Amino acid sequence: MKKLTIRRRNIIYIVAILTLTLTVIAWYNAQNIVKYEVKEYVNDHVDEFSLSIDLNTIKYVNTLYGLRALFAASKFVERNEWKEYITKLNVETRFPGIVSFEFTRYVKQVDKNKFEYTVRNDTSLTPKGYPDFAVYPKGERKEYYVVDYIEPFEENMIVFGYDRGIDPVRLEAMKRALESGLPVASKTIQLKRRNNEPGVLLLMPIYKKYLSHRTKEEQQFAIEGFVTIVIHINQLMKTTFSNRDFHEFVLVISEDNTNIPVNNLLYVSDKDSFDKVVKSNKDTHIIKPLNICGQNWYLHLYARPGVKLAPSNSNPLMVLLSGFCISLVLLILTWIITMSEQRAVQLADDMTVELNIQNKKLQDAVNNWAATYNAMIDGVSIHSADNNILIVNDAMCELLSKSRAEIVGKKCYEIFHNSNAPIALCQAKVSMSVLKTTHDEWYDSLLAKWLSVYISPIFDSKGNVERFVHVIRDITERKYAENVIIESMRVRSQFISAVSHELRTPLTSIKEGIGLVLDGTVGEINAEQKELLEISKSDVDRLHRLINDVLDFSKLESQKTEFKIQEGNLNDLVKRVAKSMERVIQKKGLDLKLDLDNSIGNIQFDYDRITQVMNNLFNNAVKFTEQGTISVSTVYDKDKKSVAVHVKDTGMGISETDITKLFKEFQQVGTFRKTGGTGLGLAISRQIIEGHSGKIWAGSVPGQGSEFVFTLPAG
Amino acid sequence: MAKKILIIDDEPNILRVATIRLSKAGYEVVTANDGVKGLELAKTVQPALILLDLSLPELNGSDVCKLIKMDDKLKHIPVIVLSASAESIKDKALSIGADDYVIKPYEPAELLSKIEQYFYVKK
Repeated sequence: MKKLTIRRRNIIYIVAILTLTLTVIAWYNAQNIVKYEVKEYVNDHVDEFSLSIDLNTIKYVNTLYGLRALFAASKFVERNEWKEYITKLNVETRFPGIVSFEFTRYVKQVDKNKFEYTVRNDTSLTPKGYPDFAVYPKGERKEYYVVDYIEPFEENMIVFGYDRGIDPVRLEAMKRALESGLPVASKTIQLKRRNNEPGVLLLMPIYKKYLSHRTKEEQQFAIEGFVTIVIHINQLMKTTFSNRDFHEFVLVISEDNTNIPVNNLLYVSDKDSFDKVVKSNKDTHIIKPLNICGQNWYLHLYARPGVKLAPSNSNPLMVLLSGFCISLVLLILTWIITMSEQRAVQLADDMTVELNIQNKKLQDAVNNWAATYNAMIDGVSIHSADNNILIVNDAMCELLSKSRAEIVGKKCYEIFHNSNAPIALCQAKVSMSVLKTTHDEWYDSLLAKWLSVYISPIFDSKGNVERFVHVIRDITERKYAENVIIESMRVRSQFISAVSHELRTPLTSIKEGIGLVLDGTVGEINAEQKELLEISKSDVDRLHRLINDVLDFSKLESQKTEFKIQEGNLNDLVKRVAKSMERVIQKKGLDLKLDLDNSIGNIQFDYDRITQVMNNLFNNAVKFTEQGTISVSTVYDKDKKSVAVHVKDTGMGISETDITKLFKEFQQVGTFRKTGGTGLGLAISRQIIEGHSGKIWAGSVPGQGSEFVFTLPAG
Repeated sequence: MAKKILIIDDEPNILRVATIRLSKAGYEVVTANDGVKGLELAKTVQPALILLDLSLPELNGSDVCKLIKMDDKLKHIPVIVLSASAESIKDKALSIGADDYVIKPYEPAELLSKIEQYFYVKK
């Protein structure tokens, strides 16, 4: 598997980050919603708690009023009366959390000893009195606030005689009570009797009867003491909330109203969970102030984790979990899609690359083709099978002197034949019928040009003719050149013919004149005259032959000569020519040797013309051979289907360079000229043999002889 | 009596040497230098043989030959075409109804033998 590209990896990262961010946001919102709901829930319940506390507090405060009433009702409340009254209150059952009911007596410095004495001798409850009673801590002070009556006494004996006035907290509470005349709560104190746990004093001043206590001075003067309830807050609260279920909440009462109260904790409903709950729920907890007889306490209510709420979609954990699940699924999906996209893109890229290569090739091919066909000198056009011109090259436009737009889309007969319908002699029709390239040449009178036209059919996959390629070449110049050549050949031939005719006529009278004198018809001539006339006659004859050969060669060259090809026997021809030469050969003292191949049947040739060739070769052989043998042989070559005639002599031979010139006109080589030849014999022979589709050649060893060979097709 | 031979040719030199050649051979020679004269002479003289050049003024040799061969009084006279033109003279001679042909310049022996053969037949 290929590695993801950075771009695609980034997409996955982005999706991951987005989904996770959304999850976190959703989770955060869900949490906030839950927090809000929890807070609401807590808020809904906080009043229940504060109300319980208020009601209980009122109940307790009411006991203060009860105690004051006791003092008001009695001239002097004795220790036993106190006990009796308190006992009747059913403190333990009705007022749990109250450590003790006490009467704190205001004692002036001057009255201290008297007071101590009175208490020591108070036998209202015990016959012995309290002989060890002393105000403590010891020391002389201006005034004392001594704990006097205590109920229940046994558990709280420790504070019997304690001067509350030395403790600023207690003193302050008492001063406050003194001034207000109302129940007052002290700030929290540490209860020595309850392991220094937090407690509170509820106080109410008791004034001496009949004394006014409106002003400070009067109050100070009239004060007798304070009815005091010592409350163990923890126990009080436990009792207060004994019927409450704390599964859902943690309740803290503190003098501290900060979010996380740590100082001056008065009560914690669940100390074990305190840290965890308080610290993790600082956002959802509700603080409600409580006024307990002038003291500000704060009720902190916390929801425990997993507090049961009404069904909600906003479970943050579920949100978080499902968020993560969705993120994961999305991530996997994105990864898969990205991978497949990458593969698809890769595939597409590969295909694109391949396609580009192919396009390039195709474009190259098209360009090459276009460049090629536009570079062609020949006009090229491609036609549909129904004669529409589809493509033309530049040369075709030029040839037709039309723009491409004027040609393409038109019917070919409109363009090429200036016709409204296909012409009768349509070459394309011929090409279509024979299914191959056809060629024609015509003179186009519209263009005033000779045109050479090749038409090739293009086949479709089923082998039907789908299109035609026209290749048209302007051959006007060639035609003109050809015509010039043909005309010039004709003129030359005519000229030679005329010249030879004109030459023959005077030659006739010269020849006959010389002949008449030479043969003595017109009178006797002497030996010297005869010799001269014989020289003249010889050269006249040579001139005659020359004229004949020139005429003959000219006719052969201009291909005006039509060979009279007939079936004949070549061996017979050779024999006949040999016979005619016999006399000359014998006269020269040469031998003649014939070696004829009898397997040669009758073959096709022009008897007179081949005779002419044979005569020429024979004559040459005899002419250039002074002694030896003239050998003539015929050979039939079955494989090549040809007959070869060899004429071999033992003459002077021909040099290698001269051999190549032999068959060209007027190429007399070496000593030929001396022999009275015309220089045209072999050239004429070549024309004749080539006219028979044969070959003629020669070989020679100078000084030893030559061999001339010609072939004729056989069969 | 010597046989009369009419030579029709526009070349006086040829007429002259031919006349000498044939006279020495024992023939009586009559000559004409154009076609019209030749034809008239043929009618008046009634020669035993006519040597006819093909390229003649007034009336060319071919026509002369044709006219001779169309004339009942003349058509029995052998006509030997005597021409300097080498252009398929054989075919030409036959096509105009001539009896034989000799190419100029002629070989005296060939000419004489061709003439003689008509008189041998007659003999």
